[in-house]
Amino acid sequence: MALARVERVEIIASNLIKDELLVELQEAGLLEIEEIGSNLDLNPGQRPSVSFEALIFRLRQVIRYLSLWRKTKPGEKWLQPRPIINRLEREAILRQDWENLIAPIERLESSYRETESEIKALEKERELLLPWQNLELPLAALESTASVEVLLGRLPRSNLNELVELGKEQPLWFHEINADKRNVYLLFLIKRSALKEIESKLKELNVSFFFLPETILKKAQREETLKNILLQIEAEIKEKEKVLNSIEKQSQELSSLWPQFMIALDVFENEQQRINTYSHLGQTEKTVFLQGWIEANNITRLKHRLARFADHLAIFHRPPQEGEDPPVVLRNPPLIQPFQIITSLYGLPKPGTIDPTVVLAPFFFLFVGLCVSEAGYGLLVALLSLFFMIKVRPKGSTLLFSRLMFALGLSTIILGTLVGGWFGFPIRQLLLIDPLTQPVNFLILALILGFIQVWFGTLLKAIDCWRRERNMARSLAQIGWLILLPSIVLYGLRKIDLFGYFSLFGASLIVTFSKTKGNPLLRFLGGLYSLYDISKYLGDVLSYSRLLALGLSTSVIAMVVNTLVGTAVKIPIIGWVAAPFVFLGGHLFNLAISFLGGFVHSMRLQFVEFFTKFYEAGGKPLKPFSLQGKYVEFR
Amino acid sequence: MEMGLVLAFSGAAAAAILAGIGSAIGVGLAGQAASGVMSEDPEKFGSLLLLVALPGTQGIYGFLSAFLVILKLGVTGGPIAEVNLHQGWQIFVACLPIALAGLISGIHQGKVCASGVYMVAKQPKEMTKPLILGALVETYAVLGLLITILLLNGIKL
Repeated sequence: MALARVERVEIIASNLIKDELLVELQEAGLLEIEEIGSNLDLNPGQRPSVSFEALIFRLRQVIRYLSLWRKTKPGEKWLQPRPIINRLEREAILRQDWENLIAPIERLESSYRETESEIKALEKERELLLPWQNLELPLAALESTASVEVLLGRLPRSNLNELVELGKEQPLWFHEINADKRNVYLLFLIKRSALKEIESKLKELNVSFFFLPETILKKAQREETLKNILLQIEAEIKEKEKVLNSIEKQSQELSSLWPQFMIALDVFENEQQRINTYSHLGQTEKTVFLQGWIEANNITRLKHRLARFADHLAIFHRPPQEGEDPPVVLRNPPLIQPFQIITSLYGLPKPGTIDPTVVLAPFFFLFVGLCVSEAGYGLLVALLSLFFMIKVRPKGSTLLFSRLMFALGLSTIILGTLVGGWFGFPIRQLLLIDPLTQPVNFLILALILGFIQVWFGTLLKAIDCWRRERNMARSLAQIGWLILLPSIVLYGLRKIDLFGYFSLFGASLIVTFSKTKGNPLLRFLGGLYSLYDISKYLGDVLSYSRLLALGLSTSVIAMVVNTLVGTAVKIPIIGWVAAPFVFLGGHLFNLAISFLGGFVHSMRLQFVEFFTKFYEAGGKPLKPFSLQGKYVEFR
Repeated sequence: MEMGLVLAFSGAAAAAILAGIGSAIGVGLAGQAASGVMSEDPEKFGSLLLLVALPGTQGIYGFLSAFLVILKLGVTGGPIAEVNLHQGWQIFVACLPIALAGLISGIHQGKVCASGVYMVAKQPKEMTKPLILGALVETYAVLGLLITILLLNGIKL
């Protein structure tokens, strides 16, 4: 219905202009370049010797480091328009000396990490020494002599008595230095002649010996006490923390460069993208060959952009041939366009089939409105998306999504007024159906809408069978359903014979044409069996009853919130303060869950009940070779 | 009369409790999965939040059904309606569809959403597909809610 025509493009260009050609093609952003297949027997093009991959990697590292220090206002990520970069600015960025900008930050980061780990090491030393800080002996005194071994050790408190016993029997002297809940910290003097025996006995008592770490022994003087050493370590930690602080401050200052690096990253990534594209080209001695896909409407624009190379290249274009698998582009009028999102979420249509967006749009519009059915919430969503579009000026899919939300907001305002209310208060004069008192009427409305959509899906299938497959029989079977479904419903409701005859006619079409292969008897039986599909149709239509349930749940919760506000107001003094919060919080919560539910369930109705009737996904999107910014927008 | 009111209250309580349990387990499952994914990639919070929130609807449906009973009985204000034993049973049974469908579907939707979370972890662009799969499970809670509402609507006090 609204699939844009896509054509095959082939370009042969002189080697002289291939660099400029790729620059131009990337800026134009019209043509998807396809890798040349092996069937053409051409060598893939040589990439230029420059590569930005290392630079891109470093830029990413720097960005990650700076974003640790960057202070952002809440919402800044979403509410700030993207910077716009034109060709001149891009070239300036490419020429800039990035080495000089990146290197200092890299140095800063490595000294930050280094200082951090030094502090950690010092803190660990401090922790080790802390239990021994009362040992008021210089280090030199802890050195063992020829006849006496000096040791430090920790003993579980419960074994202290046994140690005392051991001290009486053996040449062992000990002194308590410190104690905590579980352990006592001891200085042992042991006669060297009995060292082995005593050591093993001590180990039996669960003594764990402590030896001063190498790092401390190295930097400490022999006259110093452990207390002194601890003080030094603490001073050192303070010193390092000061350094760390100053690095942090510098980093915070430098984090103002963050946007600049983000822009550079985008620019260089696109540059690298172009360099990678060289290998998609086919190379001959004097020329390059490239092939790809383009939306047919854009061919003149492409030719226009390449006009200045006219002497050096030839462009050919043709419709896709049998066996080729062209990408697809959805083209719809501006009002319908936002609903393309829903189609794309399911998967783009196969080339040459129907674009379901046009037929899906009105139903989806209605369904979300019915599911949310709260005009106040619709107004909020519409205003928010409008504000977002004006303030941020999004492009591409973000813009499309904002427009979709705006449309759904409008739908909710309309349907909320007709079948719901404004923040839980229905406007009785405008109410078509009050879902709370007349749920059955609402249910009937939902089922009628469902019936129409399912019928419509079948109609599209009939058209598709005829148009694309030229399969008259399959088409007639679908037409049988188109006649049977409404007439059997009407017959059931009104018992008018005419509708009965129509139903029989429809059923006979289904029986005759549903199966077109095999012998007549099997075909007849198969056709009869196809009639059983009516249960599927029934199930599909009943599935639309969810519109009632979801619509009703929004209204009831809105009412509950208002009741709670009413209760809150009755509390003296605090009530008046709390009430607005209850009102706001409750309604915002309801808004969030009802839009989530409304969106997801309406989408499911499209995908499961509607699309299964006629739709074939499996197309791949056209991805033109272009400048693509994650952070910036390229002009 | 007293017994009728007790039954009606039990119905409302069952709807809120059972559907609430279903959602609590469901959101719990999805939430655990999401925390696991975010430990690798904290940026994903926004895109995972919807998947974690989705199994929460059953609890809301149960709450809503309970509230409809409360409204029907006039508990919020004024005199409480007279409920005989038959009406009490009617209200109790009317609450069962959302209570039980909510309990079971909440748990299973939680499982579907949890695996959806893993899917988003590997395929960040496929955010809506797991949502739709979750909604497929939720359908039965929605249908349960629908029947509860229609039944409650049909009970004359």
